[in-house]
Amino acid sequence: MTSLVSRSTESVFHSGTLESLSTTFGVVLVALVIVVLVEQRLMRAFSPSGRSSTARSLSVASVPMLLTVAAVFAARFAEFLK
Amino acid sequence: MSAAEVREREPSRHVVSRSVAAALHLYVAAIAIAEALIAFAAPLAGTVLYAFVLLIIINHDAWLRAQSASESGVLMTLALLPVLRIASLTMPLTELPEIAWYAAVGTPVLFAATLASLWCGLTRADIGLVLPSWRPQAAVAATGVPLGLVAYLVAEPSAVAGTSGVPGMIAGALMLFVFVGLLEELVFRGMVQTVFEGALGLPGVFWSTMLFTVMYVGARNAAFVALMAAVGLAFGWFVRRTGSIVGVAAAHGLLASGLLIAWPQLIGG
Repeated sequence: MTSLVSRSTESVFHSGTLESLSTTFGVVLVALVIVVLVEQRLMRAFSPSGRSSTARSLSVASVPMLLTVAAVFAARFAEFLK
Repeated sequence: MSAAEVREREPSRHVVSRSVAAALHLYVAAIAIAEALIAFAAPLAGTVLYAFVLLIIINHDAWLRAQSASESGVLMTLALLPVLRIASLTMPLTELPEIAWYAAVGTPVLFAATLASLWCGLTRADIGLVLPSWRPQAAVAATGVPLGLVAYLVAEPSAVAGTSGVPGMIAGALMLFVFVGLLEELVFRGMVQTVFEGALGLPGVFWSTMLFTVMYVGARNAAFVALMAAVGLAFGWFVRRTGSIVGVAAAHGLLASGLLIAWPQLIGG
């Protein structure tokens, strides 16, 4: 019942297992991270100094999304170990 | 910084160009559509739409940054909303205790908000992390208790699991204070309201309230969404008057703790 965790997000989690959710919602997340990271590398590669300030814009998406991907991989790995 | 200095802070920061204004309308509409899709129709489709919107917004922002355009901060701040919802839908919460959900989703969003405020050049005073005078802040913080009760009576949620007993209640309340009270106020009243001030000729309070309300559509309860819209508007007005988010963050934390921990256990049984 907050904007972070709403009834919609709760019902998504109750609609499937970790495996089914990570092969649907998780795929969207991984695809997004790959696109953002590739773009970030390209921006840095083609900037004259190699430290493009425009690439900073992408870090607002890449950093939190990488943290989320790491959490998904950790959860899947923990499930695998069980 | 004195209260008078904070109040006198010139709020009009970003006058956006016509092309950015048109894009801003489209992005806000797309965010509202994505949120409605997630709440009522197809969560996966809503998430895909959010991912596209996020990619477009951050690339538009990067392009503006390359042109040294001053409006780029508006788009970078708007990008926090898709980040918030994508993180909340893709984080593997089923593996965690319910009370940890807020920290798990909030941590990436907190990182994003910190980066965005750094890249936008926002100071602590800009985002309201100042305490000019404690009395009005304490008074507004106290409103969180009755607001939490009203919100509980409207929405009637069950208590967050793992918060029974005093240690559980305290731990849960701390979690909600940081990751709901502070984080949501930092994003909406601290950043959106400040950065959007004057965008399209509208006050920042309008933008922060509208976007805050849109992000609550997922509650799937019209009365609760209306209540949160009113709360957002009142909090926005207060922050505009005082230049500080300290009081409203505490009020929001109390509201969330009452709604999700205290009132369901005291009244709901």
